Amino acid sequence: MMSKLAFCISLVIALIAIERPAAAGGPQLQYVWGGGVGSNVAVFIHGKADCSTSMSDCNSHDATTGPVGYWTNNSTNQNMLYEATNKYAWVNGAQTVTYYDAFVIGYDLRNKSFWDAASDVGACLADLGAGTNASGCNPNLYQRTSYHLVTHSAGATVVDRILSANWYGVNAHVVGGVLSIAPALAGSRASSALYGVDGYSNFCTSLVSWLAGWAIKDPAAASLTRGAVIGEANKGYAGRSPRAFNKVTTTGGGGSANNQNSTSVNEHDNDSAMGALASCLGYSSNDDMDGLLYWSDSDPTNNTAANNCPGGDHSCHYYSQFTGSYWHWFESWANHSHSRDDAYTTIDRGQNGVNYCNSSGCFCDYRAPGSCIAQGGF
Amino acid sequence: MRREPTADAPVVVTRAPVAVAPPPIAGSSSVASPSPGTSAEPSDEESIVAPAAVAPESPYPPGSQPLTEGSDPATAPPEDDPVDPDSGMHVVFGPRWDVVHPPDPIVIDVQLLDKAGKRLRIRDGRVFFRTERDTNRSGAGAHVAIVDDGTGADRVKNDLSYTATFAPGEADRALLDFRVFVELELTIDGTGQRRYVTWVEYTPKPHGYLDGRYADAAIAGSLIVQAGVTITAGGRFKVIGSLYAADKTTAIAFAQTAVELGVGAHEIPLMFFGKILHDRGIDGPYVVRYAMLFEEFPERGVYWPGVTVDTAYTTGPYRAAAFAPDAFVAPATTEPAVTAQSPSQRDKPPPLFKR
Repeated sequence: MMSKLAFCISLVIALIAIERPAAAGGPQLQYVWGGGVGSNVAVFIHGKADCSTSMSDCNSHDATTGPVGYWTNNSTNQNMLYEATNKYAWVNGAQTVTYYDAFVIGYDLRNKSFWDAASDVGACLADLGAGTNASGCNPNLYQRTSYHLVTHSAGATVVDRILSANWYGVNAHVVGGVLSIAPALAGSRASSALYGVDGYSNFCTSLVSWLAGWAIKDPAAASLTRGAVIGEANKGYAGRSPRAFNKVTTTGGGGSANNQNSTSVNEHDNDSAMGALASCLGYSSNDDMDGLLYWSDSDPTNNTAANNCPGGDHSCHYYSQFTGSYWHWFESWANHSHSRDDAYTTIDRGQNGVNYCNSSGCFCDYRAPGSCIAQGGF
Repeated sequence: MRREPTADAPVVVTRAPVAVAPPPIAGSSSVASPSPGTSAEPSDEESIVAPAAVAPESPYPPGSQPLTEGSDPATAPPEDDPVDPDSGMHVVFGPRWDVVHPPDPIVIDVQLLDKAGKRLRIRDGRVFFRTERDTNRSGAGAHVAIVDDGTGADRVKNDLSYTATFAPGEADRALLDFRVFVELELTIDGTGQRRYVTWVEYTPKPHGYLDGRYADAAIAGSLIVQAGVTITAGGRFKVIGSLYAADKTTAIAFAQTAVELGVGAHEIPLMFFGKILHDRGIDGPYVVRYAMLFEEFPERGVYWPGVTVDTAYTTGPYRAAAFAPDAFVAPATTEPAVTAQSPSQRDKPPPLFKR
């Protein structure tokens, strides 16, 4: 019979176990869309979420959907990978389309720090390149020796580490530059400033229920402080990518956290909290944000004159450590949440027709960065 | 200018509106970028554009890049977090040294500042140290108080620059691996308790060291600096270094190289690419600063950093114009291409969705 002391000890141990993060799952590779010929392949790397084999918070999706859930709009159940892998052209008076294979790597960027998670992603990318399954992510032994990389949010931090460190031989497989939507390349002020948000005595307290979904206290979010990420860059483990990062940032200014004040979009329930977050984090007019990340998080460069930085705003931020090519590609109206599921696209136009070509040229929608991934990125 | 948000009034960021160009007609040849800073809801047509051009290919090889400003790899910038957004009060804190090897203590510097940057008094504060999987256990783990009494690593008594000095003991061995999670807990008059976080590297030294042997030569149009290392246990090792002009203040290029090495004396080459030196137009001799050796463990995503060597080496004289001006061209791959159409892939499970 268990003594009272032993019972108390076991209870304490159980409570401690409950407080600790769940066991981290392994990476998984999901083949979502086909049709790619040759090296027309894109691999999508998600941001802060657990889309690993344990799938605890993959944008509200679970194991039945797989990691594509991160890129899927909760309201319409459509994913942005479709339009992001349709590239149109205008040939002989008619529109033609080229498809790209779409793979998604799901991994645990919740219970693991970004440097820990990067080893899962790197090993999985190496498996895709070699047709092996050393990481456990590729039991079907899919193989593509060349692929494009597309990231969202902290997925860019993960890929930047892999490429800057030149680990897992990934550099040799990558075609062109990395296409990075709302990248957390320089970390995020939120990961440090919001750690103690429970203690705020002002309106930030009202955001806690929403922030809990982003789990500001988990190892992944906590690892993304600016000090930690730039500290890694000081040592050559970030900011040194030999592959260009084509950054999709926010427009900044009024409504930038809220789709330019538009609410005519599905899955807008978090928009209010995103806007309010700006004040919790100490907004500065020199440091516009997309609802979670600031320009200085998303748009680092060490050469503001030569990396396509616009002169009319404060976008590109100088970090001496970012000696690789970090290119200001374009500014999207989508906020941090909508930029990974193209909410405008799926409500306004259905799954088709956002990027297109006609006799005047080819076009995409800056509100739906996925459409520009295919049309301008590949 | 900022207006206070509420849950029902989500927009908090305002900026003077700029003129909105007439929206182009979708599909016409007249297209424009969206207008940042406008407060009006955009129309569909305003956001339909010809996609912007992506970055050109990098003209430099992996591991060799232009540098505008160097930095000691044993450092990291401090965190700068808001305490009271309305008054502008904020806290600036971080490790004095981002790389700490036992038995050195971990030192965290803390300053509470007002909007103008004036230091403020902190009523009470402490710093907790935990492993990276224990980030969510607020107020737990080994901890020390922040002080301003000139003791420990605190530099000046009563200067309102606070310091936490933590010397991990045997009971804290679990912290010794890579990055240690640092939680700062503050009690501030008028605002109550706050918690903020940062990280510090608390690691063993690599199984090797930069042994002071260096050599330099111009090879194939680039400058190669050989860094001598002595390895005591085999593994994967990396050397980094920053190239400066002879004045030791004008940064020119960054280089890093990683190789597998066995026990013994070796040389790791740092390549400073010719085009960087040629285009910069600064003649040598050059100075190698901020050299550091790392032992890498890619399978865990971590490494063990060594000790910064600054200044590491001064090269012989060179003329910048003598270095090759050519852009880097990646060698053609010899690996056979495998695609969805390759025989090995034809019978694989199909994609989740069909177009």
